[in-house]
Parts: sequence; structure tokens; C-alpha cells
Amino acid sequence: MADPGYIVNNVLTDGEAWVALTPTTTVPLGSDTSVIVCESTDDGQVGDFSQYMDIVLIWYGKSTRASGGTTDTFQVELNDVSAGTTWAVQKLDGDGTNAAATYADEGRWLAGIVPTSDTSGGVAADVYGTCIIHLFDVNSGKYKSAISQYASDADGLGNVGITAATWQSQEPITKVELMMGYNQVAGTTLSIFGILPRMVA
Amino acid sequence: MAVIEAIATTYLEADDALIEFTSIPQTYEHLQLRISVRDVTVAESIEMTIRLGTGGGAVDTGSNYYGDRMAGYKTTEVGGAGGARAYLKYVAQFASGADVPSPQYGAGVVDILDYASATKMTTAMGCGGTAVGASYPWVGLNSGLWSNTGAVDRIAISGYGYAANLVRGTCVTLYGLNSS
Repeated sequence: MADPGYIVNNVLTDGEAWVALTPTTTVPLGSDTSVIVCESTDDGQVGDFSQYMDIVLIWYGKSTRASGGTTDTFQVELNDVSAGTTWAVQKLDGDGTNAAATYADEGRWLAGIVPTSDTSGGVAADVYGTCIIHLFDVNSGKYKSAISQYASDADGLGNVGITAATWQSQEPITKVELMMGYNQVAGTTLSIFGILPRMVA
Repeated sequence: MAVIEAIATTYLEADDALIEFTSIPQTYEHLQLRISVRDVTVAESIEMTIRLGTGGGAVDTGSNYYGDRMAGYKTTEVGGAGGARAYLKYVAQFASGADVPSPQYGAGVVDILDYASATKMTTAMGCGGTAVGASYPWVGLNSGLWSNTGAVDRIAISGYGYAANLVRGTCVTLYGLNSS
């Protein structure tokens, strides 16, 4: 247990605004894994989401899908909610040939397009993709707004894009789960940061 | 000094037309605004607007602001440019308007690069969106240029047309970024 870094000798300070958190799931992944979990510790310590304004996640990995497709869909679930279509998502994607805008109502936020392990389909063996997630004002009574930026190029096959998403729930975010259609390969990694506001006038 | 430090946060407790950060320290390499915003304007999505200032004075109200955008709404892709405006228009084009449910706030990040330079014009880059809406849910990657080489020491943020109110609950934090 450790006090947040902004508590120094029992005094509130403004230090590093981006606080590195520890995912609940051990990363980098030691074996193929379906879900990476990041859950608030709810204890008033560093890992307690309730003290942060925003949360940023930086994912770098790929899907275990070995055949039949060079891409997989990166998905975000909050607070164990996947039923219904809680998410509204506006997307802008480029695949190397075309750009496309699309909109969807989704049960989980389909936040990015990432590479698979389909080497026979043309994905180079050591290619990984990235998806960066920003969750805003995570403890407010607002719907939770978010943006993602993703990029991957499977040595000639690729996608780049941004999405804006709204989780139409007013509850605070206490749990973030990251998944795909297939497992995430061993070696996939994630960094998660809690973003503090200015606290001292 | 922290690598990323929160310089100031404004969380509106009532509707207001202006959020302003003044006397910005010149000790960082870059600035970043992290924004959650709703505008009173009747629209689903709308831009918030920004003016910059230098030399300890008021923000620049002249037609010295330019910008470009690459955006999408529903199935439409949008590209565009605009210049000689009296405020940055595109760089923070991600506010929610009055035509979507009241808990909906758009969100985004705006980076203001090398703001303390006294020899370079100031370029900003924004990314954000607001995803709720029957016709105009929005996501965009945006730029802004302030045609002034002065070091930025003041940032003012307003709603549509640099006139409309920002809604209670709108929140902006200004961060300073250092490499060491």
C-alpha cells in the first residue's frame, strides 16, 4: 500500500500529473490471454481510480488469429457492462487505399483495428499494432466520453484511425477490460495512467 | 520538476462564456489542454474556440488564426481549411451542443507546441469528438496556427463563435510538458 505521490509528508502537492498505474492483469502477457483487466483498487491509494480526472491506456499487441483474416477488432468494456448498445461510436479509418467514416451503436466499444498472427495471409510475424485510449472525466456524472487512436501496418496491410466514443452511463469508471475477437498474444503489453487535475491553487 | 505538471484546472460550476489561463509559466517545452466540453449552442456537435496572448497583455483578437481539419460524421468524411479568423476554430472542434442529452460532453486533447518560443509562430494540434447524435456525431484530427511569434502566456477558451456559453460541468486542465 502506498500513498499517492501527491501526498508528501501528509501535505497535498502537485507533482507528476500522469500517474503510472499497475494493470490487474500482469503485463507484458506471459501467455496468450483473452482479456487484460485494469480495476480500481478502491482503497484511496495510488490504484484508486476515484482520484483521477482522466485515464489513458497505451496498448501494444496483436491477436492470436492465425488464419482467415489480417485484422482483429480491439474492444473496450467498462464496469463489466456489455449488454445492450451503451456505446455510441463515430469512427474515421484509413486502410491504405480508402478512408471511411462510420457510426455504430455498440455493446463494447470497438476502438481500433489491430493486426493478427495470420502470416499466411500476409501479416509479418513480428508485427504488432497499437491503440491509445483516452477516457475523460471518469468520476463525473456525465456520460463518459472517450477517444482512441490506433495504428498498425502488417508489412503492406494496415489501418490507421481515430474514434470518438460515448459510454452512455453516468456511473464512475472503476474497471476497464481490453479484449479482441481472439486472444491477445503473449508479449502484448499495456501502460495505464491516471491523469490528475491541478489540485493546489 | 515534474515531466507532466498540471498548471491549472477550471471546472465550470455555472454556464460561462470564457475559461482563461493567464501568466502561464514559460518553463515548459509544450502545453496540453485536456478538455471535456458542452456548449449551449443548438447543435449536436460544435467547435469551442481559442485565443492566445503574449507579452502579458490581453489575448489577440485580430484575424491571425488559421486551421485545418480532417473529420468524420456518420458516413461522411470532411476535410477543410480556414484562415484569417479572429480565433482558432477547428483545433477544438469536439464540443457537444444542446441537441444531445444533457449528460453528453464532447472531449479531446489539444497540444500547443514550443509555446515559449519568441521566434516561432505557434502551431496547435487537436484530436477529439462527441459521439452522440442522430446526424452529426463527430470525430476529428485538427490543427491550428496563431500567426504570431510571441511566446504564449495566456489562453482563452470560449464556445461557438467565441461568444456562446460553455455549459456547467465543462472542464479544462492545462498541463505543462517537459523532457527532463
